[in-house]
Amino acid sequence: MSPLISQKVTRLKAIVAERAAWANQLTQVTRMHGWVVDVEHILDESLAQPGETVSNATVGSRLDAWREQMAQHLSDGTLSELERECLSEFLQVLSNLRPYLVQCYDRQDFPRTNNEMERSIRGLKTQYRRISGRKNWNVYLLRYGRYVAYAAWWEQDAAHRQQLEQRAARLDRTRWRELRRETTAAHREQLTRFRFRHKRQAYLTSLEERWAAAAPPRSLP
Amino acid sequence: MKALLAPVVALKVKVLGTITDAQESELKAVEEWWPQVPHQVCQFHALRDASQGAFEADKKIKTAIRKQLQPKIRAVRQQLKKQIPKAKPEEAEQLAVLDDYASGIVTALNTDGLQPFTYAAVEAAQALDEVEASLQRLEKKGLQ
Repeated sequence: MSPLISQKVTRLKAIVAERAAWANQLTQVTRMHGWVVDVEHILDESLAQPGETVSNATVGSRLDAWREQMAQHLSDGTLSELERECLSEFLQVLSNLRPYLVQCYDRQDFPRTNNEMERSIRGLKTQYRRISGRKNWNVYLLRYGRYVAYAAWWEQDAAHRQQLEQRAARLDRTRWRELRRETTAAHREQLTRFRFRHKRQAYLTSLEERWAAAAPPRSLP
Repeated sequence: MKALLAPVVALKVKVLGTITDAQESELKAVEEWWPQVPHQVCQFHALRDASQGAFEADKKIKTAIRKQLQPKIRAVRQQLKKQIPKAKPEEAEQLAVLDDYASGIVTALNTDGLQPFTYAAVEAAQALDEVEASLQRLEKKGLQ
């Protein structure tokens, strides 16, 4: 190894070694990261014994045991101030959400996260962007947002389309008119806002004209 | 939120369960519309909210390490860039390898965290541990 190469290797090693100044803090965040991983392993069923029936009760009791065990660390003096603060927040949020956190294990196909749903919403968004060539789909969403997910679901396959037809056949006419009225009103509201934002002068002039037209004619002096 | 869900209720579809983010308005709305139905909070969102403090602490440490180390590693890379063309072929190749190590270190320092499971400082430290071990092996080989 030439002196130049040796010098460069030494320099790189010295730079990398400087991280030792944060060793203590790194140990702390690694421990804190470990809490998240621990809870995730409890929730993702990977701690279940082979052949164990996973249920809300089994996962819930594991989670509660972990929370109790960790709560003891808050006062036993083993944690730094930062860790105590973060653990306290961690346990508090888990405690607040506990009634809703372990509800999905008693029913098959009940997802434990809404990641799939968010992915499908992103898919709809991408699809709309491709069709429209627009980057922003907010206007579209404001107009049709309530139904856009149903429409995508109904279009998925023949069985879903058949369900739509069956539902449409049973539709109450009064309810249909009411929905149409609501949709038309929503469209009008969006159009009004669009005009105000993009063609303000014309919009205000049209309001003034409407006002003048609606005002009773002045009587001659 | 309750009004937003009204059309879904009007469809009269049998709801077996609901799932939402950990937002209070969503929780309240689904509880009011479907009180007897099991409601699951997204565990991903729950862990993300719960570990916010730890994630921020990790981010601060990574930023501090990057601020300290990045200018130094850039300086080494600039020197290497100048030295490589002037060096003999064998030495130039070794300097190029060291430049790739430096590039790896920069990449480690620019690691981004992703809530709730990927912590930037933890990931960066692990990567730097591996770089350090590899540099030591490199040095040993060089001395043989």
